[in-house]
This record gives sequence, structure tokens and C-alpha cells, in this order.
Amino acid sequence: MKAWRKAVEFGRSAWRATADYFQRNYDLPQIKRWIDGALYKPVPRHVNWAYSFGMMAMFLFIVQVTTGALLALYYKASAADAYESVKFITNSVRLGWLVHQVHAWSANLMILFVILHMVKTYVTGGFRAPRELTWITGAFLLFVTLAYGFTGYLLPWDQLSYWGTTVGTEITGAIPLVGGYLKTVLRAGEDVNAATLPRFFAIHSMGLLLVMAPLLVAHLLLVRNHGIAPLTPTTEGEPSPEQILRDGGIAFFPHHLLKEAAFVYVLLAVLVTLAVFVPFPLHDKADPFRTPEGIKPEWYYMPAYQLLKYVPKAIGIIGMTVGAVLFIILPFIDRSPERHPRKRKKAMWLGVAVVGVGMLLMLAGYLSESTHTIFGKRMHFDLRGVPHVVVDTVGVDTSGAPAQGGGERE
Amino acid sequence: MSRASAAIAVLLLAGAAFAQPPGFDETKYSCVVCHSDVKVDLFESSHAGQDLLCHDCHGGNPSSFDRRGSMEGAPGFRTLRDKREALRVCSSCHSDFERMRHSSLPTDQMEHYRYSVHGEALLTRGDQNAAACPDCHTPHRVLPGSDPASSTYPVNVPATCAKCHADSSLMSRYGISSDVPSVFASSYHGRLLIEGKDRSAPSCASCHGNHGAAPPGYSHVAQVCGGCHITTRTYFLESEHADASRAGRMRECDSCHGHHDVARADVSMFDTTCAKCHTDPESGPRVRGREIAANLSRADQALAEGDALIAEGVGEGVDLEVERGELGRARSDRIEVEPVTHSLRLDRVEGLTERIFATVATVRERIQDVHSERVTRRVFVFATWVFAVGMAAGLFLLRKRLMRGFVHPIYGVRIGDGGDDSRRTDG
Repeated sequence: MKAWRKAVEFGRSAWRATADYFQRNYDLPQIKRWIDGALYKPVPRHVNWAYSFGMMAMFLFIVQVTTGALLALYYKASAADAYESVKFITNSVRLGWLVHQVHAWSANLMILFVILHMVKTYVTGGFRAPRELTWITGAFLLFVTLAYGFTGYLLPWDQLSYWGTTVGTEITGAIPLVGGYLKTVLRAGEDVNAATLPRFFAIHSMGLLLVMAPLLVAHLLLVRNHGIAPLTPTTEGEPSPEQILRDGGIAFFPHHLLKEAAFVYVLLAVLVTLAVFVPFPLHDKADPFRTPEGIKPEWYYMPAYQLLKYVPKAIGIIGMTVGAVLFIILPFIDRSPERHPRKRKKAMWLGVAVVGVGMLLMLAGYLSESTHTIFGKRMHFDLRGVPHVVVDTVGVDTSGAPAQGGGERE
Repeated sequence: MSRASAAIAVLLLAGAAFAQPPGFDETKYSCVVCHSDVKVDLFESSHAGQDLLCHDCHGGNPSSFDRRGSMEGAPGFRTLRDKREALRVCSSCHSDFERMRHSSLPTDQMEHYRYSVHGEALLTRGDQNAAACPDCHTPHRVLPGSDPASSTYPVNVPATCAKCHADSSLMSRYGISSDVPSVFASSYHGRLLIEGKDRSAPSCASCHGNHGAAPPGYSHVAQVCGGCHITTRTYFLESEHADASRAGRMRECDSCHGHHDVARADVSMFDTTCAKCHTDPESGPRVRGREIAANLSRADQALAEGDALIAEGVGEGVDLEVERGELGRARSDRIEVEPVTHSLRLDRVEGLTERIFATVATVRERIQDVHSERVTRRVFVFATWVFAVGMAAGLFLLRKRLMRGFVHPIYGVRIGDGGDDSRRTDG
């Protein structure tokens, strides 16, 4: 009992000494004011569940970093061992399958939530002044996230990842002037080869983190600095914190943050459910001499991949590059003061058109080079996703034909 | 087919039909003028590739366009209708080491032939029905045995032999059954070779020899079969059946498997074939045979179960590569056990089948583990949802509690009351 009291007393004195040290050497009230300012930032009344997409994306990024670090404990980034090491993680490491599947699923969900977050920001006019930089850092974060997906895709070194990366890097080669050089740099040679894998792993685990971390910090600081954008026109200026609160706003902490934390728990459960019930399969080991049929990229690259089937590669690449630049500098192009979507009908239609075209291209991409039965007819979708009725060898459409003499057609 | 492609096809066929050795001038070689039917066969043969033409075998004077001057009247002309003469002409090159030096062909075929049944009939008795070189190799379209178009290509050998051996009127003169080719064609060996185009399956020549063709006596059957079934023969020689064969009470492999009509061996043979000699169903050999058969059947069932378990697991997305490899090893054991049965040693058979059962048991355990792990994973998902929903609900309740009467710590506005300055607590 005496020893216990001594230990408690020691703990108290250590705490006091630590507190004294910080009070003596740092301006703690100033730090507290800064933290309180960010933490209790008023959140406007119109903020709904869609405003949680950013937090979801950040949570998934944390999941990515955590699971990625765990995977790196066993993953071997060489063409000879990568596939076997992924198998080992999946089959032999305790809960390795869960970490692997959660990593794969959170990567896809992260990209989805980053896209949804950007769509929400576009729709609510959150990119307008004074938040131009927030938008630009967000756009770059989207590109870095896509780059994470691209570089991570190769790492299992199975047939799908190998040939998917071959197709992806081939597209890079179509960039005018520098395409060939970029392709060689990415592939570490003429083809996707044993040297490509460690290069992609280095970019995936270290290179992109060096870009992502400062961008993310800048983005979060900018968000905390400006707060959440109102729906009022830019000409009316930014409402004061008191005004936001008087108009029915809430404090970021604890009210908004607790709501987002609740969403995070649900997202975590969704993530585990997907990992268990819809696992990403590991295909055969990469074989440069055996090209599988109908190789397709991941869903987030599908629209771009499919677009390049309709237009010459160089034009497609230039078009997409111009599109990406316009996307980044959107706040400087769309100078309308209006933020509310109802007052930006043209912008909304443009957004719907872009998303619609993207979805159509994705659908065409998935359907291309496959055969499906649609309304009782066997349809083959060619490379461009154009459907053709499947006919038998003598040229008769057998899919919907009635039995001889048994058809009742008017 | 379009007109253009039809025209190209005709031109290609015409080109192939009139393919001829380089430098060959048809206008200066009289043989091909009349014997145009032979010309195509000869020009496609290996001989034409060696610049061997009509006069190299038949003699005569091909530069003469007069029938008599080119054939009957020309020095050294021979029709080669007498098979002995054909043999002499063929062997003049094929037994000549100097000429054959640069080819991979052996030069002792003539010696083999001399002591074959065919050779003895022709050379000793002058029997022109006996097969000689042109009968098997064809007279003019002589191709290497590795060429699938050759009459001596392994898959084509049964048909080549059948030209004579399926001729009932010819075979009856020698007391040979003319149904041997058809019996062989329907045998396991025959179906593998003829239908399956499996060159590792035996043709007539594999057992009887080719140039030295002779029927193997029963005393040599085991040697002939053992040429391919080496392990089986090794085990057979350790069995009681080997002693019985040496004592003349059994015809080695033939007693159980037959010869031309070899059927695919299966476990039912232990019941049907053994009974031919061991008539008492309760005799020691029959009981032992049944036990061996039961072991094999159980091994087959175990392997089938293993396959089904693997298919089921793979269908559920489970990685079973290791188990698939183990099952492959068990399948090797099953293949190994068949030759072992010829030793008639139950303990040896059981030694191998036990390994198969153990492997399948391992696979079964692994699949069961996977199933139980799947249940665990579902429970884990359920627990995650209970935890997540519980936490989310708790957070919402906490939020609701905190919002009640919450006054902003910096701006002093009461949260949730919105739009009423009088509610400000800081005045």
C-alpha cells in the first residue's frame, strides 16, 4: 500500500513537472486559442451528410496507410517473390487476408469518396473565392489518389495487375513528345518487367506519400481556416461565425465531428463486410508470354480507357490533359458569384453531362469484349462496346428464334 | 469463298502438284511424260529431295523420248515388279554405309528383313505376296517415318499393315486371322494410337518389329510388353505368376490382358479375369485379389472426393494450391499402385493407398478448416456491425445530449436556438 501511494505521488509530481515545463517554455493559451478556434469552428446549417465525404476519404486514407504498413511487413517487392508473398499474407499470416482485403477495398472506396467529395464541392459552389486554393489542393489530392490506385494495382503481380499495368502505361506512351520517355521511365524499360515492380512499390509506398502528406495538410488547414462555404453568393461576403450560429449552425466539435465519427463507424463495418463477402481474387501469377482476353483497368480508369477506343490516342490524351487542367483551374474559369445549385443551372447541366458521359463510358468499357443475354438475345459487345446479335455458324440468329413450326408471330 | 481466293487456292494447289526438284527440266526427262501419275508422288518423296529420280531405281534412258529407247531397249532398265529385285535396288543404297553416312537412317534394315517372316517368305520361298520395301513405304511417295503423311508414321502403321493383314483371302492362305487389324483398332492401344493420335501408344511395329517383323512367342510377351511397361514387368517378375509362367502354366501378360485386344485395365479385372484360372471364389488368390481391388476402388473414391472438395473450395474463392499439389501427389501414388498390383502383394498396395487416404484426409481437414473459418468470418462481420451500430448510436445520443443547451465556448451563442439574439448568453 505504501509502495502504491509512492507510485501515485511520483506520477503526480511528474505530471506537474511536465506541465510546468510546457507552461514555462510555450505560449499555451495561444495554442489553446488556435485549437479552440479550429475545433469550435461554426458549421453552417445547410451542412448535411454529403459534407462527410471528405472525412470519409480521410478516414480511408488513414486505413490505407495503416493496412499498407502492415502489408509491407510481409510483402516482397520483387517479381520473383511478390505474388508468393501476397499469397503468404492471404493464407498464412494471422488476419493477413483481412488486412489485404481491407487495403484493396479502402483504396477503391477512398477514390469513390474523393470523387463524391469533389462532386459535392462543385454542386455547392464550395470552390469559389476565397476557397480557390482549397479546390486546387483537393484536385491534386484526387490525382494523387488515382496515382495510388494505379501504382498499387501492379503490386500483387498477378495476370490482371500485370496486363492492366501494361495497358495503362501504354496509354502514357501516346502523350505527344514526352510519351515514349515517360513510358520507359514508368516501366523501367521497354515493357512492364521485373524492374517495374520495385519502382511502382517505391512510388506507391514512399514517393506518393511525400506528395500526399503536404497536400493533405495544406487542404485541411485551408478548410479549417475558411470553414465550410455558405450557399450565399460571393458578393455577399462570408458570414461571421456568430451569424452562422444564429442562422442555425452548429459547432464543428462536438456536434459535427460526432456525427462524422458515427458515419466512420458505419463505414468501417461496410469495409469489413466487403472484405469478407466480396474479396478481391488473386489471379494466376503474371506471365508476360500469356495475354489474357479482355484485359480492363479498374473502374476509375475505365472511362478514360474506353474514350481512347473512340478517338485517336494522341487526341484523347491531349483532350483529357486539357480537361484535367480546366478541372484544376475551375475557380478561375467559373467566375459567377452564385453558389447555390438552383441558381447555377448551366453549371449543373454541365456537371450532369460530364458525370453521365463518364458513367456511359464506364458501362461501355465493362460491356466491351463480352457476351451477355439481354431480353432473351445473345449479344456480343465489341471492343467499342457496340452490341451485335450472336449468330450461329450458318448465320442464323438462334437466340430469339422460335422452334421450327412452333412460332406464333404476327 | 470469293473468286479471288478460289483462284489463289487453285494456283497454290497447282503449284504443289507440280512441285519439282530445282533445276529439273521436264522437257528433257521422258519418264514423266507418260507416267505423270507417278510424277507427283515421286516429286513429293524424300528421294526427290536427294535428286534421286526414276532412272536411279528403274535404270533406262530418260533422255530418250522413244518408248523402246527409254525403257525396254535401254541398258539396265528394270520394272521392279519382282519384289526381290526391288529389295536389291533399295538395299543397294540403304545398306551402303558410305551412301547413308550423312543420313540418320540405319544400314541394317536388309539384315533385319532377311530374318523376318516377310523376308523368309520372299527370299527363301520366293513368295511374292510377302511384304517388301514398296509395300510398306509405298513405291514412289517414300516419306520419312516422322512425316504424318507417311505410311510408316506410327499412327498410320496399323492401316499400312492392314492392307495385307485385313485381306481375308490372302491371310487365309497363311492361317492368319484377318480380323487382327480391326481387333487392334478397337483395343485400348489401338484407340489411343488411331483415335487419340497418341504416338506413345504402340503400333503393330512396336511389338512385332518393322523390318524384322515376326510374331513374338508367348515366352517373349513379357519382354515385349515390358519394353514400355517397365515397372509393371519388374513387379510381375516378383510375383507367383512369374513362376507359373516359367513353369508354362500361364502366358505371362497375355493370360490376363490378351494381346491385340488389350482392354483398359480396371479393378473389375480382379473379379472377372482372376476367375478364369482361380475358379473358387473363396480361394486365397481370389480373396487377395478382391482386397487389392477394394483398396484401389477406395483410393479412386478418395481421389474423386478430393477433386470434389478442391472444386468446392475453389468455387468459394479459397486458395487451395497447396492442397491441389498434395492431391496431385496422391494421384501419382494411384498411378504407381497399378504396376504394384502385378506383384500380388497386398501390403505393398496398402502402403500406397494408405498414403492416398492420408492425403485426402488432409485436404478434407483443410476444407473443413476453411468452412469453419468462413463461419468465424461471418460472426466477425456480425460483431463488427453490432459494434459499429452501437458506437454510432452512442455517438448520436451523446451528440444529442451535448447539443441540449450547448453554448458555444467562443461566441457564446446557444446552439440549436438559431436566429434569436436574446438567447446569447454573453449579452
